Amino acid sequence: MKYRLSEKARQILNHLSTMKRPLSASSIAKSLGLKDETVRSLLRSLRQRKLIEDKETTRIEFYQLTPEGQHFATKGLPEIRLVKLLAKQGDEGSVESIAKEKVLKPSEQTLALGWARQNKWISVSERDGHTWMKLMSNATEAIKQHPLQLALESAEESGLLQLDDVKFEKKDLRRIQNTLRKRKLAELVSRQTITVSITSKGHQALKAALTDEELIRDLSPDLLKSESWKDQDFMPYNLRAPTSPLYPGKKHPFVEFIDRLKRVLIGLGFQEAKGPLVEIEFWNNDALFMPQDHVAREVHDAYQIKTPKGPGRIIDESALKRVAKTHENGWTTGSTGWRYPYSFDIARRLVMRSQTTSVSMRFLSKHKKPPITMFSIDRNFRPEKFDATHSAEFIQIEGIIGSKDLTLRDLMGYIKAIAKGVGVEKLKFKPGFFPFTEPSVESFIFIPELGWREFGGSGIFRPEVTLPFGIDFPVLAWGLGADRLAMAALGIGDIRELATRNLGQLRKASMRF
Amino acid sequence: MNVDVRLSDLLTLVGRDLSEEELVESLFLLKCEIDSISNGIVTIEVNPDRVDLLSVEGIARALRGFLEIETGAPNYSIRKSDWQAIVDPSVKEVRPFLACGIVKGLQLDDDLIAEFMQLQERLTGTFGRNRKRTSIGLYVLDLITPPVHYRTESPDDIKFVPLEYYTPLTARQILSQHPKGQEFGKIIKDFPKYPILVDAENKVLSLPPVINSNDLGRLVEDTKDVFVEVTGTHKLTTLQTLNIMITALAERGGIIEDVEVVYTKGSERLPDLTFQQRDVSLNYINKIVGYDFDDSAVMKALGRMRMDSSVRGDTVQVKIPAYRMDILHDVDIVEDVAIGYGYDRFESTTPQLMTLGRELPLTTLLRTIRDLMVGLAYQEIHNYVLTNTRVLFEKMNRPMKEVVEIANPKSMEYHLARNALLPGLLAFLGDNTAQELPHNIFEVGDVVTLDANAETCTRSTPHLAAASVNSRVDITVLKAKLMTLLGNLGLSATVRKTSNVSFIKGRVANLFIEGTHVGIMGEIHPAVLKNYGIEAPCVAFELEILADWIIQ
Repeated sequence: MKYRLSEKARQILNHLSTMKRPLSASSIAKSLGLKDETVRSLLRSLRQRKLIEDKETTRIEFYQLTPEGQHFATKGLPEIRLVKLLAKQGDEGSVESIAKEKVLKPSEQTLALGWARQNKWISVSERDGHTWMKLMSNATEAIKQHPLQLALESAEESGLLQLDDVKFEKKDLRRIQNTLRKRKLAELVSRQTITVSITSKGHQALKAALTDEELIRDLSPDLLKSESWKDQDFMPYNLRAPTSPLYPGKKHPFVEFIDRLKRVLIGLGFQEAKGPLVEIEFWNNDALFMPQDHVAREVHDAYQIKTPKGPGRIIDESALKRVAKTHENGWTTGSTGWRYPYSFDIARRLVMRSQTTSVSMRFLSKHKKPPITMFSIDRNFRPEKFDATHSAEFIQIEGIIGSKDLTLRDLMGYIKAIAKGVGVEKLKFKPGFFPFTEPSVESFIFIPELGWREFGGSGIFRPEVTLPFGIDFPVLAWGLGADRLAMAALGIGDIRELATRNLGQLRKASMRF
Repeated sequence: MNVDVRLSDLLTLVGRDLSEEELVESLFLLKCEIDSISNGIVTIEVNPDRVDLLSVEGIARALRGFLEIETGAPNYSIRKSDWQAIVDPSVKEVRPFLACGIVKGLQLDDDLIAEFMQLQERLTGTFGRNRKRTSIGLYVLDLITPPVHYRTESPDDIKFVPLEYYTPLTARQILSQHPKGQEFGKIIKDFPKYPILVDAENKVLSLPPVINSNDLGRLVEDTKDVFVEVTGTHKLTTLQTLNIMITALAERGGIIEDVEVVYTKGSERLPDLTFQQRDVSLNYINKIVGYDFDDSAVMKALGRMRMDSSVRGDTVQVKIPAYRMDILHDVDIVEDVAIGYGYDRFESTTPQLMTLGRELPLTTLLRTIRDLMVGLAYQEIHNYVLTNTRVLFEKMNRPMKEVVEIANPKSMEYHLARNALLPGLLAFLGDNTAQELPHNIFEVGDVVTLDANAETCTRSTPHLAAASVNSRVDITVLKAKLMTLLGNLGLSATVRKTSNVSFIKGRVANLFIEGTHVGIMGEIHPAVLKNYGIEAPCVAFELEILADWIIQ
């Protein structure tokens, strides 16, 4: 009879045979330097093949870590982390300063404070309306070789804590047991252990077994050439065994999202354009009929530029003059204009681009024959502090369509088509206001998980915007926020995560969106 | 801008009980938006073009039209009075224009007085450009002896008790001590003489645009008759601001009386609430909206927007109330027709327009580069363009160079525009030492450099940078990857040894393509690694993506 034994199964049988007494799975594992689970699964199959048999069952007690215990085993007890933090901050710190470090989760802060206090590692006082914590002299010493922490760490990998395995003094052992229970860091569980011994069939198998060396591990060109694989068996692989992670080359999800948006717009017949990140106010604002003292142009709404000093150049001087007249008295556009003296100096000032509508205006100044379409998806800048919902850099999806006979209802049709392109069927319109469009439309889309959300602004460019550039047909314009769309698509709640600084997050990020 | 109104007050003014849903929906379709309703207070977001909606009275007036409770242009009658306000030529330099009016027979309470104060603040904050362009004062009419004089005086000669104070201060003291003086004093500070409004007995009404008098300018519950004044630097805005303020008061049941404002040359009786007239082509309206409005449909829609109109042939003659500041062009009437009809009632249309969609050839090239980099096992990252001196220069150990710098940064973390990608990549690597090695990252993105000859004095150029960190790195492997990338782009590069403080000496080279210097590659200097907190060796390259590589 031919027995096929894997190398490890053979080792186990061999061990049982040499030791000549029943052994438990964990003792076999320890002796052979194998993992407990591996031995257990091999024993199961050996038992099935009747190569081994069960002898006696005993119960052993051990502790199993709770999720919290597991967490502290990896990260360290919160009170120990608190002591380390305080030591880093010069032995004293306020509750707020500790919270800012983000080393402790809010729920852990209370725990840490409580235990550190109970252990007499810190003293707590109220001062200037803040709660201050000060390290006691013994604290840094006490956290070194801390018995509870050591016990937890010994169980970090398996989640199982056998206290006899770790050398502790008796009083420490008691305290550890009490604390584990009281803090719910581990639960006492018992498990049946079975000892097994080799059967006579097992002895036979061991003798007759083919070892792995006699099986084909790697199919090689030589084996193929000699065709000797015909006389040999292939060593089987355990394909159910877990694999280690690989890190492939990958695109950034947000950049990829933008790339897909571009494809949607190309599909809708739009042609891409690009403009400079540092703009001249003329293109950023004036050409859009935004009066030079408009609130959106003030310090808190646009980044002004220290270096280079400027001024920028406006190549088409005659367009500049027409825009100036339009601001002052409406020029020949049929408008009253804003009725103020236009400043050419302001027009030539440099700003960080605050809206990609400037790209549309540059495009219109060069493409005057209908029909025209254009889109641009690019960065813009506004003086904001970065937080979960605000970003000083944001990406706008900008588009225009110009042709004779286009209407407000056509604009609504285009917005619907764009929404459909990004996977949204349900939307509603309301009147809106933008200085450069009239009529203006704001659209809202329905996202099942989020409800109604602002989709973007749109409108028909005012005659004061188009006529100075010689365009006498309607130009429909729209702008959507790419960031919010991406956040909804990628399931991100914090706008800063679009430019995440966490490589682990990028490695894990799903590219199916 | 948000306007807080009391729900009960709003409904009383509208004159009909509305469900919350009706109110939300009507305001939504009227270009406003309800931000929140809580404790009987409705917060309404008003768009900056409709300054006439900055008061609860204005919102109610618009709602009455939209809900067809009262349509057409509201008619405010003005009684003649013999009050005069005399403008002295001395104000010409500092704040040349004055507009005044009177409202009588008001029934005020504390809530209402507070609301008028807020309206004043909102109007001068937005439309008045933080009081620079216009500012408003309200006074107890009975305490003023006409005529009122508007003139300038030197800062030390002006003395009165400003609002919220009990003792008189000179104008100079007000500018340095009073909170409003500190906030708005800068508007007049540099003029030798300040503008001032006084009555016939030389009692001060106000020091515009800073603060009103506590004696004359404090409205109380039993005030019935109010004197309103607006001063400003822009004539039209000054007149319009008065119209909005006066009509809001009139909506509370007040009766308007005029004031003769007398300039050296001529005078005018204010407020002037004459309708603005505009003739708009019906065909133009229909062409822009894409709808077939007939005469009565247009008239009805405009009526709901509180405008009167009549149609003769193709001409719609529109009478626009004097409080509407946003009608500059016929197209503004078109939008009101569309809003009056109801945005929710339009079916959208899809034009059958044949246009060719296509991306920029640059986008195609950048995608190819990104695909190849991914194939070479690099993880793409995305950084901000804005950065700071530490990341861009100091940590690189490179000398400061002129780059785009923002004059009004919100934070010193973000005050420069990057002129290279590599510093951002190294900062990223320094943040990720806890992640399993190897780290292979790249970024494709725009950098901004100065260029005196360019239209914007700057140039935005796409760059590619990549960096690898591992326990052992090999510059020849990096070079192999780089050459493979360029080879797959049909480019061949040569390298020439160079020295660069950010890299290890003898392990850094400049990269040339067809004789043009495009970038650099090398092993990062240990001191630089330390600056960024990178704990293992690192090789990196950065190159400019040249326009000539694009296949048109």
